[in-house]
Amino acid sequence: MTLVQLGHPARARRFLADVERARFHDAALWQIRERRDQRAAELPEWEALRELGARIKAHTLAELPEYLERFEQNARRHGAHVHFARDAAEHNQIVFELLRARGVTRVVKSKSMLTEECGLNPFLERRGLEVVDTDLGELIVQLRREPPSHIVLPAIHLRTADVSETFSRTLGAPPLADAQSLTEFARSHLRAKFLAAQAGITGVNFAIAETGGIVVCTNEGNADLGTALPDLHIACMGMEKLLPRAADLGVFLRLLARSATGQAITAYTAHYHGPRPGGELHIVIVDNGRSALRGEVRHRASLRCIRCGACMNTCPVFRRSGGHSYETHVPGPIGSILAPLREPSAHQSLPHACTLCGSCTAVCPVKINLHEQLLELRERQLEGPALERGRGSLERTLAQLLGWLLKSPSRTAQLGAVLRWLCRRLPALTRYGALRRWTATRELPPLPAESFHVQYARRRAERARSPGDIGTRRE
Amino acid sequence: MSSRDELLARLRAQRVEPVPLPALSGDWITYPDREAQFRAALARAAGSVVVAPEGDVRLAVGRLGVVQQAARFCSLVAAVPGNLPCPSEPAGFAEVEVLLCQAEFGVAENGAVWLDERVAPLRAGLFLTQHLVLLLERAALVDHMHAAYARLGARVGQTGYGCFLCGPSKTADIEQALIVGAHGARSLVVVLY
Repeated sequence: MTLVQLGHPARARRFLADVERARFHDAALWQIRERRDQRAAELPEWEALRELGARIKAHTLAELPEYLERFEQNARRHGAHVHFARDAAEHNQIVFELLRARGVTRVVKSKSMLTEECGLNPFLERRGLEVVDTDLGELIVQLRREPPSHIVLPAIHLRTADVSETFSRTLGAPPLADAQSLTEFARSHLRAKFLAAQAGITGVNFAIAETGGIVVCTNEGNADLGTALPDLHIACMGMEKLLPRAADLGVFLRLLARSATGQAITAYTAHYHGPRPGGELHIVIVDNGRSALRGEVRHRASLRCIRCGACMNTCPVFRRSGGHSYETHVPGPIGSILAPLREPSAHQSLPHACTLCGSCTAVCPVKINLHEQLLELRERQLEGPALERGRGSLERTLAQLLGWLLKSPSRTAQLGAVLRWLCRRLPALTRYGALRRWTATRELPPLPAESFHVQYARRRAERARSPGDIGTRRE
Repeated sequence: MSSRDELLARLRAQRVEPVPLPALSGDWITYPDREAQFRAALARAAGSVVVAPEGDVRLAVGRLGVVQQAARFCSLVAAVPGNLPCPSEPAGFAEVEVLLCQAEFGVAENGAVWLDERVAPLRAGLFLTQHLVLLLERAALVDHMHAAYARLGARVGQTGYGCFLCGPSKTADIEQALIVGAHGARSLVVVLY
């Protein structure tokens, strides 16, 4: 078995080697999950909101070409320019041409998972532009030349000391020991960047077909600041961000921040309709595999995702393996669906980074059946050529053997007897050799000496001997 | 064919079961005391509320510590003048300590208020200024976000920039420690009258 196949577990093991850091990561994310539960419980209509969110998104995806055209027309009516990009390369080229034509060399950017997906930062940097990520978490990972490890909390894998070291090494900051002074340092560093920027790039949380507007949610106010000063605003969005009506925002804004961070709403929820007076607004709508996903009946629902990160915070695997172990721009349960569908050979291990506990599905604000889709992707691996032939055929042979054994009650009973005997001796048998990998982190529960059928038959026989004793258990 | 036409053609060629667009009616929460709920929600978002005595906003604003200490206090509300005129250039707000602005309405559910370009023609003021003081009429509180969008109606698409603002700028990106004053306002006070 190669490291490619064991990608996620191998990387997770590296993350878990730092026990104290791994415990912090787990606890911090669980705390956010608990805050999400508190905020959700405050609204008696929470489940109705999730249902509405799911249905509005499903409707919009079904009518997507009509809504895209309507959005484009209405956005143009306000004086915005609308561009379409078939893939990441075209998206990056469009953004670069816009910046180059205006002689822009200094850009501030607010958080956008789409630009991470497209690799916009390195693309622009290679062409000599300065691109500054202005979300604090994004800035920290940008300075460390790392990808974000979480879509809402990009630096959740780091500790305060790491941030302090990063600021000292890259920005010449004095040694700062606490989050307050580090944030204050970043504030003054970024203020200068905001004031000097010639263009602001933002993501888009929601685009409204009916009005041609876009909505951007942040807690820091960095998107608002980054678009209030420079004359050029470029907003990059995946085509699934559309909503039919402005009033639909009532549903989605109630869901988004509660699911993401356990806040009732983010500090800034900006609605842009057209450019600033005297400025320019360009909206780049990107496909990059989304239309193919729309064609997948069993996975179309994953296009409803509003990138809140709730599935990551709740996931027992994500909390204990860290976002970087997924090696995708969107990690966690939703990322483990999106990445293998886009590039099956590169992300084989991700559908297995899941216990099928269903917690992600239970918290998803737009009711994506995440764990069911992950299971489906595992099934697909056994059907398709994606899995390495040897392992695939071995698993198939074992599955066929198991099917043959379970088809007959007598064979099943014999299998049980063999397994009960074997399992008591298994730990000793697997201390060495290839099976060790399987048992190194697992413990078997104690097994009963006899099967249910044998126990049942024995007890009936005992009761028949002493009829007055019905209902009491005799040991 | 352009990327646009190619994309639209590809989407139209896909067979996707139609799903009806749901109506937005619902049995939404209502608050018997909207003001108390608004105050609690805003406090959770690190903002605060003061009530103007007998509706005297000028008095209430003048009593605020941030205003008393501010060397540069600018106002976008005619009835309550600042001690300096508002900057005419967006970047000028970087030097302003306190900005006073009229909020159009507030949302009890989450403590947010609606502001747009009609009250803040230079939107940079809302983010560059160190501290924000917002006036809000007591009667202008709605229960939830559905009522908020119903109140805005078509106007939401008629202003270049509009924002639900909930408390000061904040971040928890370093070890989940909540720090107020990330990029934008370091504090936010809503003065109810």
